[in-house]
Amino acid sequence: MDLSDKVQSELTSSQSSSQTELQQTETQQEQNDIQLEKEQTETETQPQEKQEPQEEKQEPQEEKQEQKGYWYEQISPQEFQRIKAKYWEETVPVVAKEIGMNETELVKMMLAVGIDSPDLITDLRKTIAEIDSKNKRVTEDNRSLKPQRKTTTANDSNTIKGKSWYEIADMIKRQRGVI
Amino acid sequence: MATLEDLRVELNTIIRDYDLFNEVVDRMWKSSALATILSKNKRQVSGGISYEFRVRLTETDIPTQRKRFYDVIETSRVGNPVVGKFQLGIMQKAISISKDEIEANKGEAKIIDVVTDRMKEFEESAKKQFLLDLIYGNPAVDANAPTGLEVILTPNNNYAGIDETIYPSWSPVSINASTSTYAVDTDTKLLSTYSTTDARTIDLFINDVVYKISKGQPELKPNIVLTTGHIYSLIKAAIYPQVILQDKALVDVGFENVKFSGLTIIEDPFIPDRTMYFLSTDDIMMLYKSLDLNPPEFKVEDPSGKSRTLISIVEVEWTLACTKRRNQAKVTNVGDAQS
Repeated sequence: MDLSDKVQSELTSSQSSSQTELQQTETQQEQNDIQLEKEQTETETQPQEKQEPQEEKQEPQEEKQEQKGYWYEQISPQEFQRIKAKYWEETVPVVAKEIGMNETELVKMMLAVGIDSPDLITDLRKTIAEIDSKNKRVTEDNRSLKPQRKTTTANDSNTIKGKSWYEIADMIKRQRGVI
Repeated sequence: MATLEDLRVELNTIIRDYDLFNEVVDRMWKSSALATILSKNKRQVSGGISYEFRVRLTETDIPTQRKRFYDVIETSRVGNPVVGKFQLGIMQKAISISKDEIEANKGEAKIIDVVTDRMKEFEESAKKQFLLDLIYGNPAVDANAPTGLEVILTPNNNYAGIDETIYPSWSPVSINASTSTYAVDTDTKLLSTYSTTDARTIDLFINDVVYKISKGQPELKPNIVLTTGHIYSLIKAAIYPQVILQDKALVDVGFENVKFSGLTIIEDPFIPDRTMYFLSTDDIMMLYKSLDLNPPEFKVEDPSGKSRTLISIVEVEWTLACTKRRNQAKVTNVGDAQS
């Protein structure tokens, strides 16, 4: 027994409960059915006719989004330049390095959420640090991970500082796969 | 079969990828206690082979205040500053790998062995040359040599192109220990093997030299005493019953020293016999030009057409530059003449 059959049987049972309700529901069902049919025909016809031109249009749109970014709709280019000039040299590189993010990405994010004051940047830094600690995100420049990196032997074996030439030869051979 | 050209390319790749030449030069800068101290005051010369400086050498003594004006500044408010020039010396090392050696060591692993072996030889040779030049380098003897401490500490040699007869304050302090107060006769000669020079006498002697340099001004006090292994051991023996303090920064990089009477006493393998240098190392710069980003490559040299050899010529340009020569002193004739 299919689900649709079950639904129908339940509907019939409910229909049998009262005729007035039945009449109302029948009229509603009819209306709904008509609407559904209309929508279906629309949705069926639309893709067939418009799929190809839509695909053609979507590509340039995506390119534009990549070039300009979606925040341009929310903030003017002049405002963007003003904020960028204000924080680019000082705050942004520091924050970006700390959270392991590209500077451009960070500016995008800041502008998207309307950040234009140092207090908000510090708040953002805290929020990102919290999210990172929850997600255990590993980044190259995450300071909290530095002590762990020092304890690993993998990095130590890659440097020639303080090694004897015999050890250096051994290391080069290992890295070039001749051992 | 790998050709000589293939091997040459591989050699250069290994040296470039692991920055082996620069590693050797780095090790050279820290090859002795003196080099380690002086290399903290390194300054890179970006263009040319000389470093020009301006110094105000008009010395004013105010006996009541014990003030001496003697400064290295470019904005002197009294008179015209004297212009001096330090010339960089060139240490050149040719590293070669012969055809026979290449043929006997086929395979990448053997080539890596040859490269690291050559780097080891280069390091040993460069270190020895560097430590010798650090003391004895003299451009008047060898035009390409850097300037060493002997030139800086010897008076009347027109160091950096400044005439000491015109500017007496450009002359370093020179002391003969055999005629000093603390070495009047042979039996009580300072740091003699046959006399028991006590810590008190050494302390008085060091303070005497320091006073001759600084005239009582603490900022002109030297910070390092450099001496021979023999004299160093005699000083150490004399002060042994007392507490021996060491400069931790030097101990950390593997150089023994003694802190005594406010100075760090260290030994040097190449310093002249019976000599002590009293140095204010803050006033001695080590000028250098770093190796290029692209290290000197091995090239095929084929002069006779028979024996083909791979050769790389590494040049390290450096010199010592003392800008306050009056703060340095050389004490000669310490202890007994060594037979």
